[in-house]
Amino acid sequence: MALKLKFNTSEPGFWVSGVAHAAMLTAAMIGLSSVAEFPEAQEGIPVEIITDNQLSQITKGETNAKTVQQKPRAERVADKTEQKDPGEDKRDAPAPPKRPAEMKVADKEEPVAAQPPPPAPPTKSQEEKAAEAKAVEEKKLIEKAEAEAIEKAKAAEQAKVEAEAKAKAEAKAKAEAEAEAKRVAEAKAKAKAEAEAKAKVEAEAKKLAEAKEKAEAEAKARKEAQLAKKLDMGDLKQFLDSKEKNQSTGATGAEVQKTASLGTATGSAAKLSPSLRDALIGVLVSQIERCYSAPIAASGGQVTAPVLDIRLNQDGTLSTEPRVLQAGSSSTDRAVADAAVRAIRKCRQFEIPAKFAPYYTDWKVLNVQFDPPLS
Amino acid sequence: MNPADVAQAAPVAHDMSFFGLFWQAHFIVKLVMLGLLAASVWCWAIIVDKTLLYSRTKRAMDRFEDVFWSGQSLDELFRSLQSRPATGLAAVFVAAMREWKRSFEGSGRSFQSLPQRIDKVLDVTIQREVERLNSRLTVLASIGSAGPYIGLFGTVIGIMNSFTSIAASKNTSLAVVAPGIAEALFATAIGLFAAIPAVLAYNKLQSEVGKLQSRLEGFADEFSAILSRQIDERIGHAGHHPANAA
Repeated sequence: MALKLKFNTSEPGFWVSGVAHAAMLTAAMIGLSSVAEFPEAQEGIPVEIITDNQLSQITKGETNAKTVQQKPRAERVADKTEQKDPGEDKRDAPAPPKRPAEMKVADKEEPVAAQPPPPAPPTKSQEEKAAEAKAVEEKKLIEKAEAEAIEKAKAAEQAKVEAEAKAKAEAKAKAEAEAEAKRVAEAKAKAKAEAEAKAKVEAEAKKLAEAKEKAEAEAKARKEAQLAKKLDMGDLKQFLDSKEKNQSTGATGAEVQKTASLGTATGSAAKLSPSLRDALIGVLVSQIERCYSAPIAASGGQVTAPVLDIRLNQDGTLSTEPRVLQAGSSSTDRAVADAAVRAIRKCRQFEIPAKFAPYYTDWKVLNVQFDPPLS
Repeated sequence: MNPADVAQAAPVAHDMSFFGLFWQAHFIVKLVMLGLLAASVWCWAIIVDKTLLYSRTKRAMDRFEDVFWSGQSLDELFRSLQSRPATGLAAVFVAAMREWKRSFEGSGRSFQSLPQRIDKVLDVTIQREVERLNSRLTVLASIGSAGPYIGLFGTVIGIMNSFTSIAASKNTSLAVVAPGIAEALFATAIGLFAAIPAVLAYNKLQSEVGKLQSRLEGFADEFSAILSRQIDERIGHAGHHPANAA
């Protein structure tokens, strides 16, 4: 090695290089000492691929159920065999009645409107005031008299019981009691008359006050209505809040099934297994065969079986006209297909065994391959 | 050892700084790293030295050519250069002049093969000069070509080491595997760090040596032409002293 460890101005390479490396290492140690961490990784979502057929067969059920049950959930047997989804029943509560524009203020202004009456009395005349005071006094008197009368009557009764022997006393007491009663009646009548008079006066005053109030309120209401026409958030909010809470309606079905079945809420199929489907098609074909009369052309030789599109209601009647989906090209084949369609129309209603009822969504539309019977 | 313990201990134990990476590495990997670091220092030392040397040589050549073509007497120039060790063009000039002088100093004047001798001397001198310029450039070439391999060697050893430790701890979580691999890759990083400047500098310096060499050869050819013309003149009218030439 030709390196000299003594510093030489003509060959300073070693020292320059050494110092530069040392400086760089130091910088790297200081600058790169901390490691940047990756951001928290999100877990991947497993994706499964399912076929169209599988998708259409997605079991109807609830996503939080544990296993797939044979039948969808039904808490009770419906009187009408109607399949209802389990879960929430969404109902709209009627919107609260909307006030007409001129009434808009009525509720809101209640505290304000309620206030005027107290100031109203001062508008009454002195005379009225006096009458009122009098009436109050009289009322008090009447009350007092009444109380006295009751007391006295009680005493009288007691006396009556006590002093059967003392006829004299009895007679006296009776007379007294009668007199008292008379007095009371008189006082009552007087009070009544007085009260009526007072009421009349009051009513007149009230009418006046009310008329004034009404005019004021109307003016105010008109103003408010103009404002309210623009936008009333409170009203909107009330309207939006008016939905009733969802309530659970028991799911109904053909058979009771207490355990929820695993599946999706939007799934359409109560699962109809392939074998069941074949059985149903067999039932249908045998019924079609009963109605079928073979065209003469088809009596001999090979015939391509037509595929028919049959749409059924739940009771087995046809929901739409049957159609030929697929038929052979020859005239014989077409004749057979037409005959099959005629047979379906002739049958009109198929007898669907009860065990298929829960799977109606699955056999609502059926593509049936109809093999014409050899006859 | 319980894998769970390992998994828990692993993230704590690993320091990812440069020094940490170095310190946790396997013994062999450490040696490789140190060796590569030393190579890097050496390589940069050579680069600095050579760059300075070439620029100095170039400047000296420029100055010498200026003096040489200024019309100064060659004897005078020779006398001024003779006293100290000359490099570059001066060395070529001094060597040729010395041979020339020797041919005339002795009693028996030997002109016959003087041009050949001068050519030989010039060739040898040029070779020596180029050798001096070229020295240690091979180190750069070696570092440039071998550096990545040495680093890779360190990496392979490091990865082997980390795999054996995975096998030992029976845990393949990335947190266990990653630090070992990071350490191992650090060796390759150092290898590349040393090799890349070495390769670039080698190519640059090599081309500069080529330029200087062609310049030396050009001067030698010209000088040799001048000297052979002188020799022919001397042979033409023998008896004259060659010192008055030029």
